[in-house]
Amino acid sequence: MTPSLINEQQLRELRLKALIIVGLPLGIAASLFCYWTYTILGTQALNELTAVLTARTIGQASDLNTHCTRATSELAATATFTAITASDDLELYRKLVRRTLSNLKLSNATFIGFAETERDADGQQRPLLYAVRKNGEITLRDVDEIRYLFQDWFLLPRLLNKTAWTDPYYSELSGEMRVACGVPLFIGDRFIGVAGNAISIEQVAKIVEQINIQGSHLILISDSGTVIVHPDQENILRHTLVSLANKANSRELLELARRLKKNRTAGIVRLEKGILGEPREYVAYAPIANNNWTLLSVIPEEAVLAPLKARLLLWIIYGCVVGILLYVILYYLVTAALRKNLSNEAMAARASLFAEASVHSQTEFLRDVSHDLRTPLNAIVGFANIARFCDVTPDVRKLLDGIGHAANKLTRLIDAMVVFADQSESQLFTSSLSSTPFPAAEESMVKESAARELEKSP
Amino acid sequence: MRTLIIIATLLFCVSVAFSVSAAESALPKSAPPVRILMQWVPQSQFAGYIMAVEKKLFAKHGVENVQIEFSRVADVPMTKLTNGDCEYATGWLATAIQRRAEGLPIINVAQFHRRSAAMIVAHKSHGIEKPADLSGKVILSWGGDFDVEMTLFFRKYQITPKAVLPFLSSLAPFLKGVVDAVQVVEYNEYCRLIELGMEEQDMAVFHFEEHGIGAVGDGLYATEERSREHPDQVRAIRLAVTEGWEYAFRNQQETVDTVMKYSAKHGERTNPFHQQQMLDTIKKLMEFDSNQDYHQFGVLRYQDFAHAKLLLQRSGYNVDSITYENFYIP
Repeated sequence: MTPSLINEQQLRELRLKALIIVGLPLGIAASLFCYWTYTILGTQALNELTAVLTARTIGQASDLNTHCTRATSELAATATFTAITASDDLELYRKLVRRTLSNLKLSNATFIGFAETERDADGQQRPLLYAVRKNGEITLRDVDEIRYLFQDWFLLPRLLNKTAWTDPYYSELSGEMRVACGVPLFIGDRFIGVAGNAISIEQVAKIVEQINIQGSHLILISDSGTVIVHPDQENILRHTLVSLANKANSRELLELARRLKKNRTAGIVRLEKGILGEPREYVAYAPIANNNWTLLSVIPEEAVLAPLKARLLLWIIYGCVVGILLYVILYYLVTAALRKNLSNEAMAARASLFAEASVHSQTEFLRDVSHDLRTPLNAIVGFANIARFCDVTPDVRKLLDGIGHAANKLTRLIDAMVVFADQSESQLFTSSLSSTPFPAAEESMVKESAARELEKSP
Repeated sequence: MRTLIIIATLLFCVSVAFSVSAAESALPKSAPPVRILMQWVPQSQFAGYIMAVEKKLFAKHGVENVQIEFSRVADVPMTKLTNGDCEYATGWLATAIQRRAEGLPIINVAQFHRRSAAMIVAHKSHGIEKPADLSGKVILSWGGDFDVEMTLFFRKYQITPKAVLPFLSSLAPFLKGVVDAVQVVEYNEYCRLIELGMEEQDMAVFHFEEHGIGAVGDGLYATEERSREHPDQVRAIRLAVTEGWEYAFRNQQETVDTVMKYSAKHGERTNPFHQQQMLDTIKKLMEFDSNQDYHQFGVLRYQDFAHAKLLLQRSGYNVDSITYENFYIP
């Protein structure tokens, strides 16, 4: 294992630096992500959710519409058949009505009334034929009270010339709350009567219960605005959409009630003060085409926001996971890069030290060598000079002079080497400290001096 | 020992029986009931009477055992009054004058409404802006006692409707636009129309009162005999009901809650919003002002009587014999 070039302090500083380099942009990115998630994504998701709720309510209204359409179309078909078949024979008509009622598959109907008028050739109005089905038993009776002709189940289809539904009403006959639909009967262009089919509110509520989806509460409003079905039975027939708005002190609901009066559309509205007593509620609404009723689906805001919150939480969890992974990777990369950088610098410093030490060793060596050379050289020069003053032959003296000259030259050469070595060390030392280049003039001067001395040597 | 126990038991039973019968004889005989029959089902129209009972105002004025009763559709309060089925009954002024002229011995003991509540409401979208526009239109009408004002209204503006159909309490034909107009009373059906989402600016409203043919509405009636034999009771009842109305207008929330309780007990399906609206309208019709002279409240004004009589005469009723003095007990 190679010894680390970075010490603990440097490592701490490096990590801090990496943390700032990676953490700061990632933090900003995370804040932007959260903002984006809550505003853009949140709004988008809420819009999607409310659209889903509206679509769901439209679907439920469509289901209910199917029930209503089935009730009216079956009644219209069978009643018209009966009326046409026995238009001139009251006894046959009675029999057919009874049979029709027995065979009619309107399982939800508790009562069906047939009434006819103006059937006599002499223009006299015949008594109304009123058929009552109660507990599976059908009874027919003639009704001579003119007021039956002005009850909604008769009057509305008569005047509108089409199938019409009444507002909910209390029937003293059956002792229950009902709504009825009436179908006008014609032979050719001649109006002959109305077939009416009354359904108890309880049965309507059961159908509504079948189409309900958990988490929402359905309220059914007649086209006049009266409450037909409500989670709280006490409100049925008692309240209208306006009075419910007043009870809840909800401006939004009041506006909705007035809007629906003019234009029956589907949509969703958020109530600050809810109908069902929750602080805030969403009310999705959709019309029922057959009878212009309106189905309201009331969902507490908490229930609407729960999936949205879950979705946002999921997004934030995803974001956190991605963010942490990104942080780890970036931190690793940045740390590695910083560490490499720092190592290079440390290595360069060490190389410089090594080079300096190397030069210093050479100089020391040269100094030592010079010293070691000089000592014997001094002896040689000294002894040669002494020997000249001794009684020697001229030839020998000549030789001694030669030795003396050579030794002196060698001494100067060694001195020059020492000076060169000293200057080189000084240059290296200076460059390592200040990186100032060794003056070229001095370098050349030393080099020349040394070269001269070397040339002078034999 | 056993004999002793039997004797003691018998003695005890005898003493208990004696003490119970003694207590019964010591109690004062309960006063005969004083029944006041309202002309319709429980609603804010009768809040003054309801609050007078609830706040024991009848007892305060010395009339014990007052019971208020409510009518069903088929009931005719004035007939029940003269048949002795009730001691007092409420009713409209014009109706009461008619009944009196027909021979029913009834007399006005208090007149609380000072304006007529009857009106015709029409769809502006059907081209109806002024009374004459009602010609050629289909109108729902209650008929009966309501006919007096409407007939005069038609005559005044020469209105010939296409048809006048009987109004059987359902507003659906009007709401669906099957009929063009409907005759209503302001405190009930008109409030109901608002409650059903109709907006005031979409309706053409003709108050008979504003066209000079309104007869004042609710008053309290008794038989002549009762007014003669129990004048103090009549005055006490009038005072108690007056205070009842004052209490009702000053404590509207409590009044509406109480009316709702009566309504529920009677099996009626209504809501507090409707009753509050009705109470507000009744206050307007009674021209109730808390600063007014207390003793003027509940008085049948001569001009109101004379106007109602005149309207009846114009409608062809023979009410000449009925005078203010023999019709009203101040």
